[in-house]
Amino acid sequence: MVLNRKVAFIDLSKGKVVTRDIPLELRKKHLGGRGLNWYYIYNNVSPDVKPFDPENLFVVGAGLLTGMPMLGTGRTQISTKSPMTNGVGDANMGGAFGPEMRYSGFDHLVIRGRAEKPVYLFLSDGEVEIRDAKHLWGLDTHETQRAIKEEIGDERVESMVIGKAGEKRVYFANVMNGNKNAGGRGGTGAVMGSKNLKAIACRGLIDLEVSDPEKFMEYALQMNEQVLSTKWAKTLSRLGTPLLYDVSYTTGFIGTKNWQYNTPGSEGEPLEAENLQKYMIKHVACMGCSVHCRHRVKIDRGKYAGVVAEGPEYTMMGSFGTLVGCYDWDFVIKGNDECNKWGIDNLSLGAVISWAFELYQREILTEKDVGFRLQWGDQDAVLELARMIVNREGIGDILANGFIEASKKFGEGSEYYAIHVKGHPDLHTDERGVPSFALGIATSTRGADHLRSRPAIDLFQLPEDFLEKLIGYKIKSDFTAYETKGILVWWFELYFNIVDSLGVCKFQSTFNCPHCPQYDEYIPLLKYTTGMKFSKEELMQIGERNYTMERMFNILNGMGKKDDYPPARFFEEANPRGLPFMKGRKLDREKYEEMLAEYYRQHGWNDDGIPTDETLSKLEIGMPEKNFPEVE
Amino acid sequence: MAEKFQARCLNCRNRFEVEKGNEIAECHHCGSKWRISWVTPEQPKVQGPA
Repeated sequence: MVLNRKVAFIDLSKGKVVTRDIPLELRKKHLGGRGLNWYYIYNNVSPDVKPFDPENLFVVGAGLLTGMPMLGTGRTQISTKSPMTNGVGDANMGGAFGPEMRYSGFDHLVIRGRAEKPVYLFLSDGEVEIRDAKHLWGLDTHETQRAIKEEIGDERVESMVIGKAGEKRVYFANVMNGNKNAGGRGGTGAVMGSKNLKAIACRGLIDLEVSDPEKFMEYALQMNEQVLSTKWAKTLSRLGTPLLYDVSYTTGFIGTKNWQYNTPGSEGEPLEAENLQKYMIKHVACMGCSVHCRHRVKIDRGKYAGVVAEGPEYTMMGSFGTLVGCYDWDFVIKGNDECNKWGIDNLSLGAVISWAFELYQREILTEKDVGFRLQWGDQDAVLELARMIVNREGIGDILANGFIEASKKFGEGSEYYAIHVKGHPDLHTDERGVPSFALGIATSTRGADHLRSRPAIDLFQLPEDFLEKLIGYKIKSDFTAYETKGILVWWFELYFNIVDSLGVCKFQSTFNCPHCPQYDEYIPLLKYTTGMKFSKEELMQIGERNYTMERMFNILNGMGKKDDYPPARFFEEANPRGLPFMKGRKLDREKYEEMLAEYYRQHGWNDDGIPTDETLSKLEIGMPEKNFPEVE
Repeated sequence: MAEKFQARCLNCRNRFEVEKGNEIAECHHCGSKWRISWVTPEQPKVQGPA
């Protein structure tokens, strides 16, 4: 049965584990994955606990549909209190770890404490073993996974691991599975490192038995066909996420030279998605996916000849591309491979590096501070600064602590040039021309991010009657409008929460394509898989409950309305480049305030963005109550 | 007559027609000229400005 997977409570300080069933009542309230992860953290991590304290939880969760043969359900959710934001730290990872964890007998791992020496966990047949990892400490993420497979003697072992960045507690270190699957955001790798936890490995043979196999298989195939018939999936299958670059650099919403510009213009032409094709060996996919959007690439000649890697994704095209003024696929591929091995969020790393470059341009940082010059487009300088951050060397040690702490050290107005929300770096997109995108990065519970609510379909200017049918509310078609976009962002926040709680890939959701499956399709999938029956309204209510619980965690940790604003630069400086409808645009503060108020109302929060008692009562959210069991 | 397929204009966001295999096309709504790549022989995509 899908619903018989356990939760393991693991205390690394004591070296003890207890396992429990997951009550059906909790499933009905939170589903799984992201929803249940935050149920455990909300109740057990009090505001006085700092991210690297042993009392902080590190929670790994499989979605309720993770491991099923449709909609890219190879997803795993990793959640903790973030060192970057001191609030929600949350990452969603593709690959095959989540499914293998389920086959091992577990849906959730709730980890606290700190091991005396480096350890790794091995999950198999319903048991959790804490193993010595001294010999793994210092290895990169690829070497670590290889060593674990050899040690266990099974090539099919899946593991999520940290690299050098996690060991060094770089605030934006991530966790990795396979060559390139990253639980990228929120600094989850740093928290894992703080617990002396190098890896979690699993191998299982416990079948995931679905409730109605015949109907399930028929419907799963139908879902795959629905996705694959869309132009979006066909393009993604061929070009991967770099397809987004062609739109963003042409239109003018891609951060360039640390958001001083909103596109590189014709200088950026070499990075067009088609130009990646010549490096491609083949496409690969996460478990449960028939889209296969990941490139496996090889550089045959030049400075970086011999690099064989997976990816890069669109994010890397900003990080080691437009943000630092480098327009060279070789360099983007090379940088991507290094980031994957270091175990660092390339998106945050690129934002921090490009910030340092602009501070150098403005003479807030000098050659003496850095040790060398930071000139836009200098690949060696970008790579060297990245290496220093990962190893916490020189100025890299300051930058490794993220924007908030580093800008306090640098002073001189440096904070203004740091493009972040809640201390969490932004994706390299430039949201000042698209109000719904700006609101989405600002209200995101994990700080600036595109995967918590981005209504990418807003850019399509879909007919308003179509939008009303899709969203259930009247939404303005004009993507430059502010009115009704608070409702649009609210809708996507709930929806993406459900997507993450089910373990479905966002690229096979309504994120970028209105014809991909959403609530109406999830209802039969849940019924045929688990036997549980939900209505669309009930699923939306779960999304609201889960999202509000994350919001409450942030509020209890000192956040509020003051943290719901995009970077100041987006209000102050107009887009200098781009197509006519994008050039000259910046955010209007008064209209933004109205949009934010509309968004709060839609959630049932007060004018300060705090959920009202009535809302909390309706969603059955009480004050936190510790429920981590005794593990003596 | 050559077969035609639709792509979305990045300037006006309307769909415009592209003749099969063409690598340059003009949006008949707003006049923007685009370089075209082909996802499949039947699916053109705007690659960048012409």
